[in-house]
Amino acid sequence: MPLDFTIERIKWDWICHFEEVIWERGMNDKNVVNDALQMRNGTGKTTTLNLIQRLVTNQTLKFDDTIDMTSDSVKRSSQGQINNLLSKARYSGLAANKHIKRSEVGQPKFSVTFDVNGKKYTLIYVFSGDNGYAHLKAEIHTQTPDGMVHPNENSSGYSMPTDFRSTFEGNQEFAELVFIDAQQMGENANRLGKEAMDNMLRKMSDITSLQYARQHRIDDLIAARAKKAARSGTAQEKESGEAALRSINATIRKLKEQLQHDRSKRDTLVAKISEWRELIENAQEESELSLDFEIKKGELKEAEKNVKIKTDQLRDALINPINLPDSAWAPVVDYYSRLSSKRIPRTIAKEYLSTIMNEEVCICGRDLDEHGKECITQRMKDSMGLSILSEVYIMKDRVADFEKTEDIEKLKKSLERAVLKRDQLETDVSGLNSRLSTTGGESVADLTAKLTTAENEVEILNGNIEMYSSTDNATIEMNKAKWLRRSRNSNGTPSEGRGKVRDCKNIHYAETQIKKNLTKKVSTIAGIADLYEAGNALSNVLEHVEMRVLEKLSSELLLRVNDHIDNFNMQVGFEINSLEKGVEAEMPDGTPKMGYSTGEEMSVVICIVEAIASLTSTKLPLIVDNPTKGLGGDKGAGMRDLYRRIDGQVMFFMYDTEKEVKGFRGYFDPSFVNPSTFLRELESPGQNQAEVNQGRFIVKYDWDTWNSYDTSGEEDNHRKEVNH
Amino acid sequence: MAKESSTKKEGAGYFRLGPGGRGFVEKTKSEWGPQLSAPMMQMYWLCTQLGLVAYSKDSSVPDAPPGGNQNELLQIFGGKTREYQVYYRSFLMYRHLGSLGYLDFDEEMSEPIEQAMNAFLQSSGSHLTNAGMKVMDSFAQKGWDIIEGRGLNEAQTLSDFLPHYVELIIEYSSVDE
Repeated sequence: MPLDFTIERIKWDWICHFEEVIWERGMNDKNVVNDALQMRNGTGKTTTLNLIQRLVTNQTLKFDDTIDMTSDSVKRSSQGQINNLLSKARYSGLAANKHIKRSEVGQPKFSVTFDVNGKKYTLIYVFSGDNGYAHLKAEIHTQTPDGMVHPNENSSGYSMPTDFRSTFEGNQEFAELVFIDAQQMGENANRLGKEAMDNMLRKMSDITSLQYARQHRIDDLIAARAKKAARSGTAQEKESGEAALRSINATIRKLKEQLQHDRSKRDTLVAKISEWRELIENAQEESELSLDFEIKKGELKEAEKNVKIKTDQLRDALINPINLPDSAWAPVVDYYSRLSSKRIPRTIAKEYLSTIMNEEVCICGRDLDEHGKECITQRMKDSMGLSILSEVYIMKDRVADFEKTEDIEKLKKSLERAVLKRDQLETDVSGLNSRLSTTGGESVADLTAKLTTAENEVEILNGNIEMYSSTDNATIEMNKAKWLRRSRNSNGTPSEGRGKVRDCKNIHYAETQIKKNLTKKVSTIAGIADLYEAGNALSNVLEHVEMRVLEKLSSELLLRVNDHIDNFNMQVGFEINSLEKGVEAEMPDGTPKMGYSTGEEMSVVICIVEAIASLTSTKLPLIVDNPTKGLGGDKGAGMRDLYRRIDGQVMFFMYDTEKEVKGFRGYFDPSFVNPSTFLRELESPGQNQAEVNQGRFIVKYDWDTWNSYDTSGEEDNHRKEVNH
Repeated sequence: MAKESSTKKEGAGYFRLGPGGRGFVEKTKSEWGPQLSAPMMQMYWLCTQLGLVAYSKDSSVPDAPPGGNQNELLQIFGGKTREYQVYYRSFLMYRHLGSLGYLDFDEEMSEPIEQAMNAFLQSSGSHLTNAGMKVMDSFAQKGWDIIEGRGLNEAQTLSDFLPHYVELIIEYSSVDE
């Protein structure tokens, strides 16, 4: 049966800033399927979204106090995010402002009720433990039509229908597409990256277990069997092999940690770069020099493109020696011409002479006598093989028939002019920048310098990430000096020494070459070589199945994604041409699209979700947190129209101030969306919540409250959480 | 009589580029195109080409970079260099035969020239014997030595490097009056 579900109810019990709040779908008009939930900044929208993502994917949350939460890269790690979530979920609200005592805070719970194919299921996070700033645990319970399911020591209390489970369980990447935090959208686009898409597709196609079997289980089984088997090698050989195996396993673990660390660091920097760029652009756009900036930056962009094109042209011309000056190449042409005219080489191919010898008949037709045989044998010794002869004739032929394709002097001058023009424009833009400051007070010139440093650092990190994660054998081969060092022998075989294998910096080579080789060696010593070969054969079959399934799923999904882009009539200006290595798009002129704006990423995400939904016969709700981030003017109207075309429940979690985004206001129409306003029961405009107990949170569903609720200018009224 | 094999069999060698040239490609790698275009091999050819052109001025070549993992590139002409490899081998063999004294020749010298060709070429991989690849490595080293000697290795971008490289090509290919 196709999966069709909607979100019917959300309940907060002493979570974030909420005391006991229930939100229900369709309270204004049951026939309207979409909802918009507005609340002031800092109330807990994003925390709510994150809890929903983890709830549907069956993640029990546990706080880890051994990790360093002051480090940016740790904060962005998987456990860092969980720690952060448990901290943000801890009730603050009236207790933080000391309007109630902490002892009056009730049992914290968060629950979401789904209508799944007509039946109600409620997933509940029950929080426990408290270290003063975060809950220590959140366990899942489920209210099913047949009763409550609670967690036990072996499993969580997650009990959803099979279709729901297979769609969401363990699939955080997919949950982040369906329940979107628009604040994280922009040039980062991690959710569209290779790792996220790969993980999501693997889980969707249910082949993660095959991958695990192939990459770990089979080798582990063989290693365990080798331990128990009778030995055929010496004890020293056995010890050496097993030590090397331990060494490479430790190396693989460290490389994976380092990869995650560098990815986190890179993502943090990319986010900062995006933020700084936005600050710089805002400063430029809002200054009285904005028109000058627009012109100069446009020209600079063209100039940079021109330098790249001309560099590529000159480099490509120089790779072809025919384009050398005549004084350099003409003598080569002349030499081969003279070789031809002197009929050199004049040798008869060895193979032909060998045939004559075999048939014992000379080329003149006479039978070969002993003298003839001796003569031919001598000639054979001195002759070239047919293939070498052919090689020389090809060289003579190609060199004779040359024609210059490029004038390298002309290309050089053209490049120099382009570089000069670019440099001048860079100076002009720098000059304009030096007159500006950002809203934060920092000079644009300083911020630009920081940006350049960060971009260089990102490039280095990307290089490292490629080194750790590349799976292309040709690329690994070309970089073996840096990536493999002593872990690869000079004859091309993987090293076996415990110390040498530690030199390996590429996970794919470590797993597929070194570890496999060592496992084979150990299994041979253990006398279980046949078992090893069988394991290998099975691995190959599993890999083949995985690849075929992924290819099929990828190509099917790609077709549907592009269909949806057409159906939505999106003016995104690019086409998605592959999902195999993350979402890869290209511009109409064929150049690869690098990075996405908020609106573009949102459009692509929505199309992917719609495509997955149609592929898997699923009707999914969409939640968007901060739906108007990065929008304005035409973009706002464009996104508004996109959301209206989505077939299925759409929920917005938004600030009240987002209602005013140009072009987007038209979305909030009674025929299309149900309004919900979260506010404190005694809340008054301009009142300071820290000083006045405004009562508990309630939800109102009427349009008057929706339209009139306005907290702009009241940011200071919401005091930050106090730890106590 | 045993049949002579038409293919030469010897252990596959590697083209080698020293740390200077490799470091330059690392520094400018975003400008060479994707990894599949084999940026290191492109740089290797640019160095070799300069060495081959400059040979006309002094007829000398330095030693090739030493063996070992650190200097190895590929065993074939990969990436963008694949398309023009016949020209590369032609230029290289021309210089090599010239260095053996076969620049001017007549029909009588056919045999030693053929033997030299036979020792230089093979039928698979890079189509150069290991000896031939070492000759190419030497010319690449010569080219790099010139680049380093003139400070071109200090260039931060390919767009700075290439115009100066062209100037060197023109300088070394000019005919002495």
